[in-house]
Amino acid sequence: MRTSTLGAVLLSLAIAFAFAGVLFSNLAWTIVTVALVSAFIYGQRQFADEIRGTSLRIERQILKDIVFTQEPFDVKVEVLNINPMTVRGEFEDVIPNDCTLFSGSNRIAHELPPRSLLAFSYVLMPQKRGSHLIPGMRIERVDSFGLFAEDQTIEQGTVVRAHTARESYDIAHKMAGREHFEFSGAVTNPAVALRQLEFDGIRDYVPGDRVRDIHWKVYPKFGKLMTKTYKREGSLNTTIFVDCGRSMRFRSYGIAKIDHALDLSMQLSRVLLSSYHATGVGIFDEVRVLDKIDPSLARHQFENIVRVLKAVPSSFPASEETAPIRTEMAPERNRSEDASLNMRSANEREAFLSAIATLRGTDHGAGLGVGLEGAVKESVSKGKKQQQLFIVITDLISSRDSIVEAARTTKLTGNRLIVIHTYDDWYRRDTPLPEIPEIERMYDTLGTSLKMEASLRALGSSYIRVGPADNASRIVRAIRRGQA
Amino acid sequence: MMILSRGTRMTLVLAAVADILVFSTASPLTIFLAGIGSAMIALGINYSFKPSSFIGLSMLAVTAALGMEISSLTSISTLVVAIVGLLLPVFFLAMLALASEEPEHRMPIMRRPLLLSLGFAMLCVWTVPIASLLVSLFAPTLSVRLTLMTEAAVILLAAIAGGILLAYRTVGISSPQAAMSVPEKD
Repeated sequence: MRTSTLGAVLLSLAIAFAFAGVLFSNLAWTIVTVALVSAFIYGQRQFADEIRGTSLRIERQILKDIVFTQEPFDVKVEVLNINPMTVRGEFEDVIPNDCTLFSGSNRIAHELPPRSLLAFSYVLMPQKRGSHLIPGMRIERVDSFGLFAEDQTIEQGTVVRAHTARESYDIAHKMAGREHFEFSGAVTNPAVALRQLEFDGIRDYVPGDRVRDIHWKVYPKFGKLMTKTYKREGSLNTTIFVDCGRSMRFRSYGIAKIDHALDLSMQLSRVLLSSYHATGVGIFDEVRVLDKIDPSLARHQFENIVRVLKAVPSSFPASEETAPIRTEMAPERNRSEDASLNMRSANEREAFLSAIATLRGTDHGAGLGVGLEGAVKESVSKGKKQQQLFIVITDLISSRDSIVEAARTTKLTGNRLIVIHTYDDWYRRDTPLPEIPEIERMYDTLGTSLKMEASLRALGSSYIRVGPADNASRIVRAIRRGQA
Repeated sequence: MMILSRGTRMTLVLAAVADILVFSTASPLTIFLAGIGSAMIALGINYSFKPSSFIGLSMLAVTAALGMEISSLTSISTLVVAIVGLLLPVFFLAMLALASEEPEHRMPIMRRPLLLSLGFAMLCVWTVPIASLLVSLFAPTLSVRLTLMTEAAVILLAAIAGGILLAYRTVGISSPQAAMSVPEKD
């Protein structure tokens, strides 16, 4: 609690009266000093009780359905004073760290009488995607006598989830009319048969074939009846999984992989839905599936997908020292140091695995939806023997094992898996001339990635390596041309 | 908690000034200064203007101190005069003057702080008789030599000590409302 100028003047007056009492040898001045000091103490105690008894109800309204990054949104604040005491001072709604005040003012000087409402609004602009917490309201309070001041914080916060930039959202809508997702390959049991009579080839006529399927034009050439065969082209139930692990969320790179993955997943789901593929989406981290929506062709499925993707954790800044992805060693490090480091990292890995073992739920039976492989098994069991397509967008760093397990599951159950690998090195900031150790590390990483690609292809999965410049159009075309 | 209206506040100001004048030596200068001071406080309350009230309070306080001659607080008569004729009116005048910017019908008086501050004021004034009594019990020869300066020193010492103790209790007042529910807005 601070004493204001008026409070200081009152105290000075009291001290002057005390001196006057000594100077004029009259106790009346001293009594007046006591009276003034008592009034000062009354003001202080009353203000302390006012602060303790403050009861404000703060409600914030975000006047926008979807909040996009780098796009302003209105915040309407209503403060209701429930306490029978007036609240005086300057009210300031605290702005989240990654947001800037776009227009209006988040501060207002006001005297809020008991059981009355204060309403004001301002415009914020989020600088990055993710959750932004408006922590509460700070009030620079003054007492009714004007003798004291105090900063009080009312911690009634509101979380605003900012989605990716509107540009990406608009691109997804534009792509929907332009790109068509056609997954090449035999589909034995599609969810919806789009075209029954897609020409496949010709074969010898066997009794029982329909007359209209006989290929009359080739009869003179072969001298026997041939029958045209058709394949059923259908839509696949598709689930897009987005990896939200720590390595995906590092912001030390030019662009956070998670943000790119989010844009890709949103655009791919829009293209898939426009091509009449029932589409769902899931987000997962190292331990569990955070949220998931089953494939559907419902009217508001894209909005539901956007809602799930909004829950993706935001990227975070990380210093180079704490980044777990860096694998390069100092060139002068000797073998014993390497061995001890490997031992320590192995111990840490063991400790980490044992810590999350209880969370993985492997003892509780398969398909309980814990981890990516669990979610895949769950989808397969729910799929009623219909063939499904799983698209996983990952950097293959923290979730490598679960993705290999998922690939194994999809192979065994006759489903499809496409792994879109956000290749870590391509997301790093450009350096003018990398040093030799850095080049060796990059070469190592590429070798590991190629091995991973080979093992995934061996398990019948498709694989696409992407960088920050790749967009959903390129991925869709690659899949359509069978390049994946 | 009591709520005082503007009319009540005006009446209280006049009553306090009258009280001071009754107990003081009412010279023409004292009456003139008291009249100006009370008028300034009344105007400050009427127009919600604190500077006017504060200056009026200062004038009235000076007038009250000038108009009264208290040489000792060891006798009951002077003690009653000091409390009823000086301490209480100046205390209430200070409260009314400082709260002059409160809107009409809205000057809240909280009972607990009021009792606490009045108790503090009474204790300060009564420290002189209490100290005198203690001195007479433990050192009877010294009790007759309690001078005006000693009494003033005892009162001021009590005021400073009491003020520090009461102010210390309000250090570290934190926000009363902890983190409540955090609603999520899409």
